[in-house]
This record gives sequence, C-alpha cells and structure tokens, in this order.
Amino acid sequence: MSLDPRAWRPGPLLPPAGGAALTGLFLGAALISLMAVLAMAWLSADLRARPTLRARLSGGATIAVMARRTSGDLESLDAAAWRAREILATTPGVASAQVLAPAPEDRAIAAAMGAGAAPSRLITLVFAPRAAPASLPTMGTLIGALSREGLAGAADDHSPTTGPVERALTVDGAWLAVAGAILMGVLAGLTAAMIQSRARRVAPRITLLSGLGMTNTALLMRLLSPVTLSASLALIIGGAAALAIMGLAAPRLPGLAAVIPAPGAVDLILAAAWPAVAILVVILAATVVGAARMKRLAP
Amino acid sequence: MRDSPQTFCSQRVADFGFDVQDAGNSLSQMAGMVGGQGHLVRFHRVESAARGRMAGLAPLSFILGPGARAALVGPPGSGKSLALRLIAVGAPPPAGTLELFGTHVSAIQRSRRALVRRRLGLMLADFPLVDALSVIDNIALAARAVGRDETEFFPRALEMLNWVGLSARADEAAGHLDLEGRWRLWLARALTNNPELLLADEPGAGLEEGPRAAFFKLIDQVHGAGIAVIMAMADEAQAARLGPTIRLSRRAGAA
Repeated sequence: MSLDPRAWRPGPLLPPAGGAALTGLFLGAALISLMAVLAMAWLSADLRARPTLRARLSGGATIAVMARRTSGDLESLDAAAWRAREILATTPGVASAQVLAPAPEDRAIAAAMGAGAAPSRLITLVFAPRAAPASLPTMGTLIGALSREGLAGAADDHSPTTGPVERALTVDGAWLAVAGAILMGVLAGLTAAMIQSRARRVAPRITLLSGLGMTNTALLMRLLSPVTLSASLALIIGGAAALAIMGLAAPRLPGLAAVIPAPGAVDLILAAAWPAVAILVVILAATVVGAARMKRLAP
Repeated sequence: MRDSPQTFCSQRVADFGFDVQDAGNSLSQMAGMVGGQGHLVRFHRVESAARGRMAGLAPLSFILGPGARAALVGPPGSGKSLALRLIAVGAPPPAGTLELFGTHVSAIQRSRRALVRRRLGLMLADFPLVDALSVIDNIALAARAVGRDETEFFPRALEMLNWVGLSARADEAAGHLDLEGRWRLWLARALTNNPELLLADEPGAGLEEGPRAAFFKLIDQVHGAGIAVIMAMADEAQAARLGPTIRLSRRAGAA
C-alpha cells in the first residue's frame, strides 16, 4: 500500500477562505477599528477637555498693567505691577493674583530701550472658584480699583472666549453615535459580504457534508470561523494600535497635550471597549447571514 | 475484516427483530400498503409537481423494511431520482406522507435531519465525490462529517477501500479515477458510516458490462450484509434481475 497511515493527515472539511478576501476584511476591520477607537478618543477629549478649559477660561482674567508716563515721577513698570497685584489680590472675589515674568519680547525691548519702554506687565487673576457669578468682580471693577490708586491697566476678560472655545471643542454626541453606527454597519456589511462570498464558494461542500450527516451547527461553525477569527484578530490589532498611539504618542506631543488632556485610564478603557463591541457585531452579522445561507444550502 | 459490512448489519437487523432473508421479499408484499412497524421507509401517496428541470412525482406508495432491496423503475421524468432525494433530504414532501425509520418526517426538526441522514448511505448526484481530494480523504470526509475520530475511522476506511479494490490508490486524487473506480469509491464512502439504508441513483451508469456486473456484485454483498438498498434505475430488465421493483409512471400532465 502506498499510503502511510502515520503520515496521513486529513485535509480541511471546508475549503479554506480566500486569502485575498480575508486580507480585505483584515485591513477593513483594522481601519474601522482604528477609526472607531480614535472617534472614542475624540469624544473622550471632548468630554474632558471642554469642561476643563471652560473652568480655566471663566475662572480668571489677565490684567495688563501699563507704565504711567503722565506722572512727573515715573514709577517703574515692575513697581507698578507689584502694587497692582496687591490691590487686585484684595479685591473681593479674587482668589489669587500673580505677576507674570516679562515675556521674551518685552525683555528684548527693555534691554534695547530701557526698562520703562516695556509696554506692560501681565497679572493673572484667579477668581474664587466657589463664588457666585454675581459676586465676582467685573473687568470695570478691577480697572476702577487700579485707577483709584493711580495705576493704568487693561483687563483681558477670558470669559467671552469661553463660548467659541467650547463650541470649537464640542463634538456632537448624536453625530458621533451616527458615525459609530455607520462604522459598525460597514463592519457588519463587510462581514456579511465575506460570509456570502465564502458560502457561495463552499456551497457544494456544505451540501455534501450535510448529506453525509454533519449537523447545521457544526457546519455553521466551520463556515464562520475563518472569517470571524480573522476579523476579530484585525479588530484587536487595530484597537491595540490605536491604544498605543493614544497611550504613548499623544503625551509626548507637548503642544497637543497642553490643549487636550493626555488620555487617562478611563479613555483607554473606553477605547478598548470599541474592538470588543466590533467583534460582537462581526460575530452577530456572521451568524445571522451564515444561518440564513445554511438554511438554503443544507438539505 | 475487523468490522465487515456483514458483521455490523447482521447485528443491526437482529436489533430490529427482522429476518434478513424475509426482509428482501417483504417489499413486494407490502408495496402499496399502509402501516407496519419498524420499517425504514414508508411512502404513502407521496407526490410532487414538476419544478423547473426537476421531474414531478405521481402519487407513490411503498414500504421498505430493514434489509430489503428494491429498485424504482420508470421512464425518464417519472421522478425516480426525486423519490430518492425526498428520502435523503428528510423534509416533508409537498403532498402525502413520508416516514423514515418509523418516524413521520414532519416530526423531525430541521436541525435533526442530519442525524437521520447518518443512517443513510447516499449515492446521489446531489452528494458527489470531491475530485480535488484524495480517495482516502473522500472516505474520511464521510467519517469526519459525523464527528468520528481519525484513529477510529482510519482502519475502517482502509477496510472499505480494500473491499472495493482501491486500497492501492488511496492517496490518489479522486478526480484521477476512471468511472469504475469512481463508482466503487462512491459506494465505499456511502458505507463508511455503517448506514442502514443505501440510496443509489442509477448505480453503475456508464460502465461496460463487465465492470457493471462486478459493481452490482458489490451491491449484492451490501444487501447480503443486511443493508437495505433502494436504487433508481432506468434499465428495467437489469432492475428486475436484481430484485423487486417499484414501477413509477410519469405524473399526469408532465411533458
């Protein structure tokens, strides 16, 4: 006999899934997963960055103290700034006042043209966080307090910018939900197309195996497993890639991290949930389509 | 042989309480009758309209007991293949009553039809050989479909191949076999899972007289081992030589 029983290994019951088709699903699923995870990260930034910036913007002001050139005995800008700080710090509703170090360009002007030539010195104010809005000082109140003490200044009220900044950072939750649903729909459609394609390719074998006594459940598992396994793998890889980008790359981008908070554990958990949801979608879509096909193929 | 067809079928028939020799004759007596316990197949006024290329089936009634053999004969388009397919599928027929292994098919859940089919050996066009697979893999397909372990079925598969004379070609692709080899492999595969009933559509079709006779000797051995056989045959003379026949006529109105 030419056959060696010890060397013989049975071939697959169903022909293997097409490599090209699986690659397409793999790439598609990885891309969708990546997009979904990034969308989740964006939502997370929206939920966390927006309130943070709102608190920062509406909770303080910047006062520019200018040198008074009209007085006979010119007070130095530094002295005026520190005097203004004392006045502002005692104004009701102000929690703290800090004189900022001169900006680089101001230092350059002072070095070239003398200390009195620098246009202004900035003082940042932080309002009492728990104070009622009505009890907070208005910009007029602050400038008036300075003026009464012979100081000139200009107030930069941050609160008017709160609205535009908030609107810029707002990601509409409904649109995100729609986008997520579309992504999941695309994933489900891709899976369904893969199952349909595979079912067409292996239809004669399914009919044969069913005729030989293989149960529909066993056949369904054989039909679905290559697609669902590859899709799940793709989604896990896509999710892991997105997590790696968020967890490692984002905090190392100083400009970005200053505006949008670096991803925290909650963001990472939320992002990691997306591939799991996507895998469930794939399995559900594959099972529904596969079972429907099986009804037609298995006698 | 460790587990020959004779051995396992004798045991099975004994379990049913039928005598193998009598069972073969019981068909002609029971044909057209209703009732009977322990029968493998019971058709009672089963009929089907023609659909597309599928021939219709005029009302057909017969009972096949365990270990019996019968040939469905009739002109092309009389529904011989359809009758076999109705048995193989195990779904309720469009009209009439069909019972398999003593159970009305309408009582068999769709998910359990495959389990019923494990008691059948199929040589029907709907369930062909897989040309791309080797001879042994075609046999293995039948055993693995029902979840049998490799170590369990491998000796059985070799035994079946030896019986049909294909053991030397076990690792050849089935597509490389000649027609006689293909019929023999088909028979071996159909018997791999120890069926109680063999369904064969035009067995030996296309073979020369010598190979055809040799092939029918194998089927004789199957029947002699107690396995019931139903064949669809166009050659009435050949069918009559093999045993009882059930004549089918074209459904009224068929082309």
